[in-house]
Amino acid sequence: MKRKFSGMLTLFLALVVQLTFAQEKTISGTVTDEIGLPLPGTTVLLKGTSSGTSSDFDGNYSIKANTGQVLVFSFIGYTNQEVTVGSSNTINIVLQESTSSLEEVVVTAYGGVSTLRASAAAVSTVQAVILEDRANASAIQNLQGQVAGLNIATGTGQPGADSLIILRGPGSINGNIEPLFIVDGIAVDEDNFRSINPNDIATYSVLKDAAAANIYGNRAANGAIVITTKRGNFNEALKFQYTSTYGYNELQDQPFELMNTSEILNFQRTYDEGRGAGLTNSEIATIARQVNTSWTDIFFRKGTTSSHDLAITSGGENSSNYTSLQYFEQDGIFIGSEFQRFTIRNNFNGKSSDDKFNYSMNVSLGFSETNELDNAGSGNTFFNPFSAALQGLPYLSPFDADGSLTRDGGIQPGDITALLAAGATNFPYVLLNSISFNTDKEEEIKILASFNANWNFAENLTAGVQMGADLGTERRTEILHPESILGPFQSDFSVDAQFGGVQEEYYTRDFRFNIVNSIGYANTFGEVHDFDATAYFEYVKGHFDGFNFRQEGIDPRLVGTGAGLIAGRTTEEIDGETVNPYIPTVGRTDLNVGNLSIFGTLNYTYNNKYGFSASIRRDNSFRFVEENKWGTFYSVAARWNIDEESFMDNTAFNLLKLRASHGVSGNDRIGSGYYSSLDDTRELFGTGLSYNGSNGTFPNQRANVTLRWEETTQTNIGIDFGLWKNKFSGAIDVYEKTTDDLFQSDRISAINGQGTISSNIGSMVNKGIELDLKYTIIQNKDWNVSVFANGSYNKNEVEQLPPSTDGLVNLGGSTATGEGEPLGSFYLVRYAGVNPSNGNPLFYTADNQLTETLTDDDRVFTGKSIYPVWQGGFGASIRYKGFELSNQWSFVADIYRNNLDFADLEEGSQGSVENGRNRSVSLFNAWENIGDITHIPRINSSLGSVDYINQTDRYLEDASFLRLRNITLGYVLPRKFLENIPITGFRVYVQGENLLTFTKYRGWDPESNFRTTDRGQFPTPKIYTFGATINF
Amino acid sequence: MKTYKFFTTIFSSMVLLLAMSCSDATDIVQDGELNEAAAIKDVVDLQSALNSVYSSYGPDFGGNGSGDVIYFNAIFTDNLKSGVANNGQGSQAYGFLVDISGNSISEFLWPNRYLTIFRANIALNALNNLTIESTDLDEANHIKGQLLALRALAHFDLFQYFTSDYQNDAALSIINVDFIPTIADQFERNTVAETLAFIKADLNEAATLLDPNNSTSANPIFINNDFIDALKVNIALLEGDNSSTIMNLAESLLAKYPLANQTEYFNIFSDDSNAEVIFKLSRVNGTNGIGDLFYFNQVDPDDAYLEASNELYNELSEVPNDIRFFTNIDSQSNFIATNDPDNLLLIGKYPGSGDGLQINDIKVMRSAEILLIKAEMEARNNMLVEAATSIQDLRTARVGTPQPLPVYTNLNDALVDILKERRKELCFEGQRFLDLKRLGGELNIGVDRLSVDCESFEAPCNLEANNFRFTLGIPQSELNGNRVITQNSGY
Repeated sequence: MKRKFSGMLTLFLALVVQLTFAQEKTISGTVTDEIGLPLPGTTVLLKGTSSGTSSDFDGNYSIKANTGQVLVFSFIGYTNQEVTVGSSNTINIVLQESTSSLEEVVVTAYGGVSTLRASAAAVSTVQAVILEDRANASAIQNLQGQVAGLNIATGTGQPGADSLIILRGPGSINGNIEPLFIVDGIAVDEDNFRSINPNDIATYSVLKDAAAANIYGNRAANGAIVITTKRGNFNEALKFQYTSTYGYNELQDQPFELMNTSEILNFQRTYDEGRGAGLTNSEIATIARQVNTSWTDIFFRKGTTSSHDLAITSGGENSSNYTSLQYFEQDGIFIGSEFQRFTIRNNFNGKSSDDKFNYSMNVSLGFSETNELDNAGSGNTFFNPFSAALQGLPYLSPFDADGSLTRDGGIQPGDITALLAAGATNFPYVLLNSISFNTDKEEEIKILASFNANWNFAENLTAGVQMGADLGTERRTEILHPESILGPFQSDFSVDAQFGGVQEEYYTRDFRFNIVNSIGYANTFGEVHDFDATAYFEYVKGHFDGFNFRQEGIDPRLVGTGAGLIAGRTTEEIDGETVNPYIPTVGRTDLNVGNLSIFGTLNYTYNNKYGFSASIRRDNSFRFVEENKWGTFYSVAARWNIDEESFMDNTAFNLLKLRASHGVSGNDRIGSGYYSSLDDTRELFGTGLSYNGSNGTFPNQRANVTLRWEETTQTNIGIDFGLWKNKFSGAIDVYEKTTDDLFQSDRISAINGQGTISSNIGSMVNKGIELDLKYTIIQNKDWNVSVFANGSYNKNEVEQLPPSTDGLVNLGGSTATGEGEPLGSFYLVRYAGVNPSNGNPLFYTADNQLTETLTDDDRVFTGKSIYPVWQGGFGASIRYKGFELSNQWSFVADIYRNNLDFADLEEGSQGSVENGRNRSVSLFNAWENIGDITHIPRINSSLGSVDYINQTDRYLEDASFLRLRNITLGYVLPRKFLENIPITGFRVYVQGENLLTFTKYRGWDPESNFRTTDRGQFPTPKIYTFGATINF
Repeated sequence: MKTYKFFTTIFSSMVLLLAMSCSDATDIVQDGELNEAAAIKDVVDLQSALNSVYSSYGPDFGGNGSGDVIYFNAIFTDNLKSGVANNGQGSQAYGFLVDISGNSISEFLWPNRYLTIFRANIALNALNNLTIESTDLDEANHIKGQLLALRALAHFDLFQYFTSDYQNDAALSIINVDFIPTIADQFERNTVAETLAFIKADLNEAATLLDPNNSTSANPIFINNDFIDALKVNIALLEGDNSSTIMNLAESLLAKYPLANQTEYFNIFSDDSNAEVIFKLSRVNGTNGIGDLFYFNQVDPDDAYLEASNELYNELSEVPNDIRFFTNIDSQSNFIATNDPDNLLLIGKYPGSGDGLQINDIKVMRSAEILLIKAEMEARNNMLVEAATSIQDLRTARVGTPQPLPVYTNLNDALVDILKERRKELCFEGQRFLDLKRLGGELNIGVDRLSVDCESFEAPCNLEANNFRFTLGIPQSELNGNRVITQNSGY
C-alpha cells in the first residue's frame, strides 16, 4: 500500500471505477462464485487503466478491450483474478473466496477499517449476516456465544428487554461494568437496543484490549462494541430485498414437579392446615377430579413473532444509499407481554469525484411499544405474576361458572377478606385480574443520527469530523385500574375513598451528543516504512430530563384519559374528617453529563511485517474536583507477522501473527449508570415533605473531594493464525486486566449522618484466556461444511478492599465481597442436612462443626460466584447446493445462583403450611419420624425459604448451562426457477431459538443477567420462525 | 477548489466553535444542587431545617420484620407472638438472634439517632453563621432550643441502649457529637459521666432558649419546656437520682398533665385526644406508618404478621374494664380460649387515623410514664405507701372505678408490681426491653414467654436477666467505619 488513506477510504477505492469508452471489441461474460451464484457488482478493470465496468445482478458484464489487454475482476471478499483477452469474446469467471476475505476486515475506532493482517489489537468481528435470521427483538442478544470473552446475559423473556453485557469479566465494583457501544460512530445507550433494527447491522466488532478500546478512552475501560450498519455501494443499480417472517414463542421445558390437587390436599391434611385439613380421602378425590389447575398453563401462552423488512440499496458514481424499513412484532410467552417496533433508516455516502473528500450520513428512527409486567423478582404476593404462575394452588379453578377463563375468581374489588383469607390463597386470581385490567406500557422513539466527513486536503494530510447523536424519548404509562380487585386499595384511605386506581406516567428524554475532529498525516518512506499519526479532539454531552406524575384516584368511566384523573382538590368525608384523598404527586428530573478529550494515535509498519501503534489521551471529567479532573491514559501495541518471514515460506500458514498490547484506561462512572453520581464531590442539601406535613431542609450528601479516575490496566498477548488458505483459522488471547482505585462505598462513622461514601479504594483483577477457532471441513461447488468454536476462561479476584472492611464487605445478603475472592461470591452458612433425631436443619459452623443454630458468624466464602468462569459457544454450518443447515450453541459454566423459586416450593416453616401456595412433590421427603434420613427438615421447623436463601447455601445451585442458541435450515431457490420472473433471488428458512437446554439448575431458566437470586422472574422463551427473503 | 475553500471554512469554524464551548462539558453543576449558604438563609429556612430534624427521628421506623426501638422492644421480649399472615417476619429477633448487621436493631437505632444529631448540628451551625434580625431573635432561640433538645433526646436514646451500666460513671457509653464531623473522623465512645453531662447541658441550655409563648409550645407535637423536664425526670431515674428536686419536677408535670380518662385514653391512640401527652411525634399522610410494624396493610384479621402475645393478653384482661385491654387488643380479635394456639390477638394500639390506615402519631412521653417513674422513685426512697398510691391512681384512671391500694412489703415487691404496670401501660411504645434491662436486671426477671407464644415462632421462650443482649452491640457498619470504637462485651 503506497498511500494510506483512512481505512474506509481504502475500502471504497476498491469499488471505484471510471467508465470510459473505447473502440475495441466487446468482451462479455458472467461472474459467479464457487457455488455458481452470480456476483453482481464485480468490478472489471482494464489493467493499467482506469477504465472498467461492473457486473449486473445476474453477474453479467460487458467491456470493450483489445486482444492482449488484461482484465482484472475484483469483488470484495474474493481473490482478484486477471485474464488476458484472447480470441474469444466471452469470458466467464469464477471468483474464489479470498483467504483475506471479509471476515478479516477489522473495524477500529472512529470508523477506521484495518485488516486482520495489519491489526495489532485484540478485536473480534462478527458479520451480522450470520445472525440475520434470528428472531430476538434485541439485536444484541444474538451475539451471545459468538465472541470469546463476551457475555450477553439476558435475564428476562420480555421481548426487547435489556441484557447485561460483560466483556472479560466485571471490571468494577460500584462503577459501570458494561462495554461502550458505538453505532456508526455514535456512542449509544448500552442499555437500550429494542428500537434498533437488527437487520440493519453489517458488523459487530468487539474491541477487547487496551490497544483497541483505549481510543475511546474514559468510556471504554470495559472494552467497546463497535457496530456498523449496512450501506450501498457506488455504481450499483437499484436493488430491493424483502424479508418476511412468522413464528411462535413458547415456554422452555421446566424442571418443576409441582403437587397436584390430590397431593397438596393430602399434604395439608397431614399437617392439619389449609383446605385439606380434616378432609376424607373421598372428599379429596372429589376435589381432585373436579379441579387440577396448572397455573403455569394459565399464565403462559404460545406467543407469535412476525416481521417485515424491506431494504433498498443503490449507488451512483459519487453517492450510494441504503434505505430500510422494518416492522417487528413479538408477543411474549407470558400474558400481557407484547412488543412492537417500526424502524426506518437511511445511510448515505458521498464523495468527490477525485476521492479526496468523502462523507456519510446515517439516520435511523425507531418507534417501539412495549407492554410488560412489573415486579418480576418481587416478594410481593399480589404483584409478582411469575410467582403466581408457579405457586398457584392446583385446586383453585381458573374458570368461571360459565366455563370461561375467569378474570377475578369471583372476588369483588376491595374485598380484603377474600384477598387475605387462607394465607392469600386467591393471589393467582388477583394477578390474572391485574394483568387483564391494568396497563404497563412503554412507548419509545429513538433517533440515531451521525455525520462523518474526511477530506484529504493536502498531500498526506487528512482532516476528519464526526458528529453523532442518540436521542431517546420514552413515555411509560402504568395504570392500576380502579375496577380491578386491587383498585380500591390504592389511595391512602383505601376502600374508604370513593375512587380507587392509580395512574403513573413518566416522560423522559435522553439526548447524547458527541463530536470528534481529527487531523491526520500518513506517508510511506522508502517503500517499506508506513507511518501515520492522527490527533483528535472530542466533545461529549449528555442531557437527560423527564417529568412524571402519580395520581391516586381514577374515574372508572374514563380510565387512561386525562379526564379520568380525579381532581386533586376533591374532598371527601372519611371517618368524620374532611380529607383530600386524590392529591397527585409530580416530579421532574434534569441531569447533565459531559466529557472533553484530546488524544493522538500513531502507527508504524515496516514492510507489512512489523507493526507498532500507540495512543495517548487526556480526558476531562466533570465528576471530579479541579486537581483530579484530568486523567492521562495510553496504550502501546506491536505485531509481528511471522508468516511474512522467509523461514515460513512453504509452510501451511497463510497467517501467523503475534501481537501484544498494554495500556491504561480510565473510568469516571462512579455509579454504574450513565447519569449517576454527578456531584459526589460537593456537600449538598435537599428538601422535601417533612415533619407534620411541612417542608423540610436537610443535608443529604457529604462530599468526597478525593474522588478520582478509576484506572484499568490491561495487558494482552495474542496470536492470529490461518492455515491452508484459511481453511483453519483462529486466535488465542491471554490477558490480565487490573482495575485500581476501584469505585466502592467506603464505610464512615455514622456521626456523619450517613454510613457510606463513594471512594476510590482497592483493586480487582480479571485474568483470562480466550480461544477462537474456525475450520472449513469441505468447500467445493456443492458442499461447504464448517465448524467453529470459541471459549474463554476468566478468573476474577478482588485484590484489595477498603481497610475499613477488614477485607470483607457483607451487606447482609447472600453474597459478599472479600479480598482474594471473586466479585459476587456467595458468603453463606453451609447447610448440612437434617438432624435425624428431631428433624431440625443442621449447619456447619465456620470450623466445620455441626450446629442447629444459624448465625452469621458461621458464614464462609463458598468459592462460588454469580459470574461465570467459563463461557463460550460453538456450532456448525453445512451447505449443500441451495440448502444450508447451521446451528449455534452457547454455554456458561462455574456460575451459581440462589434458587428462591425452588426454596419457596419447599417452604415448610412454622405457620407456612397454609400460605396459599403450591409445593414441590419433593416436600413429601420431609423429615417425619425419629431416625428419618432426609435432606428436607421437618414441616413446621423454624426457618423459612428466605432464611435459607439469605443465610445458607441450601438452595445455592449450579446455574451452568449448555443451550442450543439457534438452529436454522435455509434453502436458496436455484436461479433457473427465477429466470422468467422479475426476482433475482429467493430464500426460505426455518429457525429455532433456545430449543434445547442442558442444565442442573432447578428454576425457570438457568440464564440470567447475573442476579444473585431467582424469584418469580420472566424466563426466556423458545422461538420458532419461518421466513422468506426475496431479492428483486 | 472553491468547494475546498468552503470546506476549510466549515472545518475551521467547527473547531473554533468547539474550543469555545468546552467549559460546558467540563464544569457541570446539576440543577437543584443546594449548598449550605443557599439552603439556610433565614429563620424560615431554619424552621425548615428543624422540621427535618424532627422528621429524621424515627423510633417507629421499620416494617416487614425489622425496625427501630418500638418494633425491637416488642419483638425481643414477651409482648408478641407470630401472626396469622406471618411468613418469617421477626423470627430471627424473636429467637434472640440479635446480630449487629443487616436489619438488626443496632443498624436501625445507631444510624438513625446519629442522623438526627448530624442534622441538628448542621442546623445549629447554620444558625450560628446567620445574622439574625432582632425581631427574629425569639423565634431563632426557640428553634435553637428545640434543636438542642432533639440532640439531647437522640443522645439519650443511644445512651439507654448501648450503655451496659447507667450508674457506672466510667463505663463506655456513646459518642457525644456537638460539631460537624469530617468524613475521616473516628471516635471512641465517651463515658457515662461525660454523656450524661452532655445531655443535661443541652437540656439546660434548651430550657433557657425555648419560648413558652411561642405557638408551638402549646402543641404537643413540638418540644416545649415540659418535655425537657420530663426528660430530666427520666434521666434521673436511670442515674438513680431520687432527690426531692426531681420528685417535685415530676409532681409539677403531673399537675399540668393529668391522667386521661378512659375515653380520652382510647382516643389518644387514634390521635383524637392529646390528654396526658407531653410530647408526641406527628405522623401524617406521606410520612411513616407505624402499623407497618405489625400489619402488611391495615388492622385486619387476615393481615397481621405479628400479634399480641397470649401472655400480654392475659395480663391486660386481669382486671375487667381496663381500658388498656380495649386499646391494645383490637375488637376484631378472635379469642378462643386461654392460651389457645389459635387465638387471634390483633394489636390495636395503632389503629390508623385520618392520615391513613397505618398512620398514627408516636407518643414519646405521656404523664402516665412520669407517674410510673415517680412511683419507682418513691419505692426506692422507701416510700412504699406513696408508691402504692401512685400505682393505684393509675389503675383507677384506667379501669374507670376506684381500684384497691396495692400492698408492698418491701422494695422488691413494689418494683415487681411497677414493672408489671409499666408493661400494661406502655406496651408497644418502646419500653418493655428497656424495663427488663433496667428493672429486670435488678429483679432477676428476664424474658419469660408462655410456651404458646414462643412456639408460634418455634423460638426459645426465655432469656435470662442481665444477658449481654440487654446491652446492644455497636453496629457492624460503625465498627467498619470507625476503627477506634470499642464494642460491647458479648458481641
